[in-house]
This record gives sequence, structure tokens and C-alpha cells, in this order.
Amino acid sequence: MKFILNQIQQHSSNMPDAGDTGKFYVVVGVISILFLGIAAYLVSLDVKLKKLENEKN
Amino acid sequence: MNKIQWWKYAGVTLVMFALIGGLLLPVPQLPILEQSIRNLYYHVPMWFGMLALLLASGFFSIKTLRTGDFQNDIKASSYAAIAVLYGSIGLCTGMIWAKNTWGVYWTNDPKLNSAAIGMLMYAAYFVLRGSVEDEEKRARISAVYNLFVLPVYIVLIYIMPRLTASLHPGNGGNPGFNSYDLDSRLRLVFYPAVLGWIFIGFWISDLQIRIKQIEFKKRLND
Repeated sequence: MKFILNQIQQHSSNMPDAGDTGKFYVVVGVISILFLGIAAYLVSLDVKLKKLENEKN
Repeated sequence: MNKIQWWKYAGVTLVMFALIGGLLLPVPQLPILEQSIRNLYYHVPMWFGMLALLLASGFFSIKTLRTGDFQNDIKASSYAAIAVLYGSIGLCTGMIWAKNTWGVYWTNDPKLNSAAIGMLMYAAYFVLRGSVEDEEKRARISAVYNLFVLPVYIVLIYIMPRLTASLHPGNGGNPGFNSYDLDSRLRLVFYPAVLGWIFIGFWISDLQIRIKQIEFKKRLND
């Protein structure tokens, strides 16, 4: 994990053209939230199914 | 038994890592591809995921034929369904990538056409399933068809394109995938991405399987 964080920091400090990478982290944040939302939905579906399965048996 | 299995969380964690790492970690500078090499973390895992799901589907088709148990057919068809979903996403993402590196959305490339034929073969699998009313018959017929299609699909996607010239990396003397796969920076994100998306694919299939099992039980009770 530390290695990865170091890599990210190193990379962000010497990215080739600053114009291309301005506020890029915003996009990363948006994509992360998007996927976490879908994952949370999958978890809730899973829990609901568990309840249904327990009712049936 | 109300806990969610560990590999589902592992899938989410790995995909999260691949999404963030794939955008932020450094990539090798390659001509034409440039930053689009990052698609390796998103487009390629779809096809790996599809293959894993299809193998699972084939495994349960064999089990269907050996045991005659309807539950195995539910599993085989659900894995195939999510595999087709992954394949469709793979085709669409590949087309965007192709447009920006090859200049066109679709070319008559052996890899691309094979993938399209493969997808159609699996579309036919679901048409076949839909056309058989009797559940036991459907289970057996679709299992036989699935086991016929799976090797053809693997030959089409993974063997045939390698025998001829192809634009797609990893085929017909096109070095693409192998040369950039050697880069450890790409591997660091690529392998977790593949594993993560395989887990997510199995999770979605798992949800579909359980829905169908509940439906099946309900039908038995009625």
C-alpha cells in the first residue's frame, strides 16, 4: 500500500503537462463514488436475497 | 449465515484499486496508444472475466448432464448470461478504443469478427433456451449446446486470430499485449483488475442464480 501511495505521489509531482492533469483527481473521485455506489447496491441486493432465502427455508 | 462472502468484498477492493490506480499510476509511453494504454485495465479484464464465467458455465453444463440436476442448469445459464454482458461491454469498450487508435470503430479483423461471432453463438444459446418449454429438456439441450459452443468460442477468440494477421494486440505476430505486458507498472494494476472483475462477475451471477433458485422453489410450491 505504501509503495502504491509513493508511486501516486511521485507521479503526480512530475506529470509531463500540468494543463492535462488539472483537477484530474476530481474525476478519480467521481469514478470511485460511482463504483462504490454500484457495489453498495450489490451488497444490499445480496442482503435482501439472504433474507428471502431464510424465509423460504 | 448473514455474512457476505469474503471474495465479494475482495472483488470490490481490487476493482477500486484498479479504477484509481489505473488512472493515477504511471504508464509506459507508447506510440499511437499514449494514455489510452490505460484501457488495458478496463477493456481487457472484461474478456478475461467473460472467459472465466464461460468456463464456469461449461463446468455446470457438464454437471447438468452428469447429474440431471436442474440447479446446475440455473448456474450454467446465469454464468453464461453475465459472460455475455461482460462480452458486450468488452465489444463496446473495444470499439471506442479502436476508433481512437485504429481510426475506425470496426474493421474486418479476425479477432473482432471472431468475438462478434462468439457473442452471436451465445445469443443463440439464450434463444435456444427460450424456445424449449420443458425445463428438464431445456436443461439438457442447452447444456449440450453450451458444451459445443464453448470450445468453438475459445478457438475463435484465442486461437484463430493468432494464426492470421490481426491488428489486435497479441495476435498474428502483433506484439502489442506481450510487449507491454512485460512492463511491471502495467502488471501492478492489470492483474488486480482482472481478478477483481472476475469476482464482481461471479457476484452478479451469484445474485441471478439465487433469484432464479427462489423463483424455482416458488414454482414448486405453487
